[in-house]
Amino acid sequence: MEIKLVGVTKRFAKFEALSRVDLEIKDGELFTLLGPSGCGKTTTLRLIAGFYIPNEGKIYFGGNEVQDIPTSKRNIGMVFQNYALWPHMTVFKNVAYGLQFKHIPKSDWPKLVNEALTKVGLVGYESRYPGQLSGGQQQRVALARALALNPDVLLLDEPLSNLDAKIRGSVRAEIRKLQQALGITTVYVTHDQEEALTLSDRIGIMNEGKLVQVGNPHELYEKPVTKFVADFIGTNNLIGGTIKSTSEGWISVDTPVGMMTGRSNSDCKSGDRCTVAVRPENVHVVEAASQVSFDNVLSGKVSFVSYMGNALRYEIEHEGSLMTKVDIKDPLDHKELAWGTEVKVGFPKSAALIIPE
Amino acid sequence: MNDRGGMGMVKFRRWLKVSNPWVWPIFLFLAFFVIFPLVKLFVDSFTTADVPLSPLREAIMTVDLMEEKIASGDEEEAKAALDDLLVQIERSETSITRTTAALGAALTSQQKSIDRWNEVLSELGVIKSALAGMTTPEEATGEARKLKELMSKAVQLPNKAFSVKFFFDVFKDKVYMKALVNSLTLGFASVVTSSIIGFSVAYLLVRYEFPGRKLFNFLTMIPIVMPPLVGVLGFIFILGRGGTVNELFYLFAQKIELTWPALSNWLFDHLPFNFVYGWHGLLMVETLHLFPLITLNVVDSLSKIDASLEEAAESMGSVGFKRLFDITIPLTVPGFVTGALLVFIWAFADFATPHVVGLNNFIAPLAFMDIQQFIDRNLFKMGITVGAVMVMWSIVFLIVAKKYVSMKDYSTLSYRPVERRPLSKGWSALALVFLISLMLFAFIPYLGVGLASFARGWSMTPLPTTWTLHHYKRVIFDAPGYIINTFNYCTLAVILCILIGLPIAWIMARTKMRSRGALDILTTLVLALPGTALGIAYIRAFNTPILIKQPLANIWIIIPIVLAVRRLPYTVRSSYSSLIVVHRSMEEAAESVGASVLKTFKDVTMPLIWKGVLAGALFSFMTSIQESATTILLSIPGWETMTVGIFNFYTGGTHGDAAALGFILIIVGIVTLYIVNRLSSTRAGGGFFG
Repeated sequence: MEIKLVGVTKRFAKFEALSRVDLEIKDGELFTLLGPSGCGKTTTLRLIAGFYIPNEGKIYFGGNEVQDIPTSKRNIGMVFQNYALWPHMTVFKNVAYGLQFKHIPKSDWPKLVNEALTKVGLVGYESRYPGQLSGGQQQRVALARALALNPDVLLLDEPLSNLDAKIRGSVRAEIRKLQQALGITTVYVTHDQEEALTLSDRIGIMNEGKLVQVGNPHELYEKPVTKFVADFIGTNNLIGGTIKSTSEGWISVDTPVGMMTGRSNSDCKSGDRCTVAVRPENVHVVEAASQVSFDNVLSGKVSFVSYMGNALRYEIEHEGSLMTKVDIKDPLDHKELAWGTEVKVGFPKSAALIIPE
Repeated sequence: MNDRGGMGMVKFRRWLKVSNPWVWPIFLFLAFFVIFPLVKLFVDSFTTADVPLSPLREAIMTVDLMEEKIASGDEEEAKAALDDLLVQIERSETSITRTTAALGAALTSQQKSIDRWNEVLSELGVIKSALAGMTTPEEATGEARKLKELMSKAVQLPNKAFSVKFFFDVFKDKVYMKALVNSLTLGFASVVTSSIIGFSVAYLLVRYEFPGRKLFNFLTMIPIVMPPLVGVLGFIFILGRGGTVNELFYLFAQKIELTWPALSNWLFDHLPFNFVYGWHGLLMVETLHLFPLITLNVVDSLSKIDASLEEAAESMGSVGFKRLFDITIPLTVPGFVTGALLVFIWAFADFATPHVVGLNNFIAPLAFMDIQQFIDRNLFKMGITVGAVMVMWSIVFLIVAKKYVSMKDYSTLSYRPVERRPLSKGWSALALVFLISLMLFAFIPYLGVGLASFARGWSMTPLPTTWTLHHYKRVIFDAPGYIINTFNYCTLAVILCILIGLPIAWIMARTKMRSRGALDILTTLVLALPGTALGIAYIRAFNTPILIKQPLANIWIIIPIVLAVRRLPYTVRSSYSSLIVVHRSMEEAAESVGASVLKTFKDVTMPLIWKGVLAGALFSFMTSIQESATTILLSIPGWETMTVGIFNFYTGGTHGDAAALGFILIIVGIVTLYIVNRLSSTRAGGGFFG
């Protein structure tokens, strides 16, 4: 079932939580809404679920308008952040509860509940109460409950945020495998970019009630269209400046720390304010006295070094209190520079992305 | 070697830290004023009737008196003493016969004691016939001495034994069984009706937004302020046979006699309407009085349900009443059960209302009358046993409720409340009509009591015809003792409540002491104990001197103590829920920067919890001034409270004075409740009961 949002706006009193959002989610894909807290991602999910009615705009499920159809008639399955398992019902009753509204005869319930629990690997826990289960088990019961009704759409609201970091990874993989196996259209809300990148077919990044960019994980990481996305996804060095000139696809930018050259995915006009974004793993650092042949070079001094095992990260201070991060991927062969060392920082123009404002 | 003193000190400190000796006085208090009276009550109810042996003691004293008079040559007085002696011998014989009968009913064979009593009886017969033939005190001296010796031995003989007779007599006695069934029926029926109204009100207040919601939040609490006896009298004043409403109907019937004779005649045939006399009236009075207990507790549970629990149901197609009954109502069970338990106990143990609406056979009034009379020892005994039976019932219900609640403890500290939905104009109007008419009915007793307190000789008219402040002058200036005593006792009781209750709450919230479970059970048990039963237990436990010369039951301090015990659970629970909210880490933070435990409590804990504690204490105060069962049972002449005053005035026929006292009580209660409401940021109540 494909989902489409057209010009959807949602206001709470005077506060506009969502402004004119257009979004298409394809049949069978796992689509993630990603953004900082308060960006409107949960509001979007709850609009799709039907807990909210949009002030403006339309929502389509497989071509049918649904914005005025109540939640109970939308055939969705939802997993809540706190699981929302009913504490007064056993696992069996929790999973089976929705079946009565689908007019499924009671004799079929055990089979269907068993199927759902098999999917999440919790067969044998039917007579337990939620309070007797671990967080991970509760999470899986919630998933089984959502799947038992064979919904058209699966909605997941930060389902992993209440789990320990250790099991979060395995549950994440389970969800992805299950979703692929069932081929169910899934909308997933999270504020954790790592979760989003590893899990999703496509991601919609939201900020301040707007959908900023939609794309697959590669596109978002490699071709952010705004400074916000560049900053939010992964780690980026961001240097503000003004576009000076463009030639043969290469763009020159005037920044407080010197001229920079880079490429861009957008139209750039000279005189525009812009941001130069470069990932720490693409930046190199050498002692100030060394000869360098990079397209873009900045001088500064080491202000902080952190060893992360598989990488070494320098934080370099430049004039005008600009800080850049440099990652050394294989610290084994690298001779560590002491704090305070005067250095040069450089990166190729192909690694510099120019994002106009 | 020279460090031994230091080592001792360290050991002592460690011992202090581990065993917390400061809690001992609290345990001592609970043991002496809760456990001991209840145990004594059960022991007494399982003991044969203790026939008083006073005639035997009097006979000994009379013999002494006679000898004294003979020695002083007072012939006439000595003769009178001899005559007395003969009467006392006869009364002693009766006592002994009844004692042997009582011993015969014991569970274990008491034949040895019975034989010895019979020996005493036969010797007494010999002495009696010897004395009967003598005319002058001088010649009776010898026999009298023999009598004194016999009696002195006899009073040492056992006159009590373990017995289940009285305990089972209650269950064999048709009157008591009928009364028990009636009281249980009233209890259950009140739970049903109060639940329907109480839950509807709670649901409206928590889930919907409509004009005046906040006002009704407070107004719907007020009906629990209801002084005994005059509360129901207020209903009678307005809805009784000669009450305002029926009088208005009479006037109306007269008015339309000519214009609409048919209706007029029908009215005259059927007037007065019976609004209050009988089961329907009883149930109405109890429901309108007790529904706030359900509302208070359900509001607490309802507002703590996380919105996602209902949304999850909605996402699977469960809506409307289906969702309400499958998800919402089951989730309010913990609060509801507590409220229902309180309603049940309150109605079950109500000893005044059934009587006023003309129903007699209920268990609490029976026990009450049995204990209050001084004629028949067997009836008194029955009263004790009924008290024990009432305690037993409340323990049974407590076990059922407790199990239910503890198994389903859904309380979480972080939750996203369900948003209030604004009601449309039409539904708002309907909600307001429901709440306003409910409040009108619930406030009828206040109107009745208020009018009666300002009326002179009010009868057979819709409203009083002459107004007066006479009743207030009487109860405020002529007999101020009732009001002064009530305020003194209740203030003392509240102080005791805080002194005992706050440490208990602290132990339960902050320590891992093994006694926590016992403290929890004990405070919950007290919550479920009917006042009548506790009053009877106190009478039995403290009517003999313990440690001090006077029996405690004869000293006024017993009243603040029993009030404190009765209301202790409210203070404990409100303090506990305030403490739970203050995270332990806040106190640890203070300790980490060097504050001592006491300093931490004073500077961090207390400022964060005082509102909750004070609200609980004031709630204890508000309910203490209304306490009647124990205060009447334990009342000591000269030390009466307002509720005792209301009874005295009522039974003395001065209803106006009773109403004036009642109205003062109502006003004080409402003002206290208002302060409680302001102190607790959300609605008060859950903290006191849940």
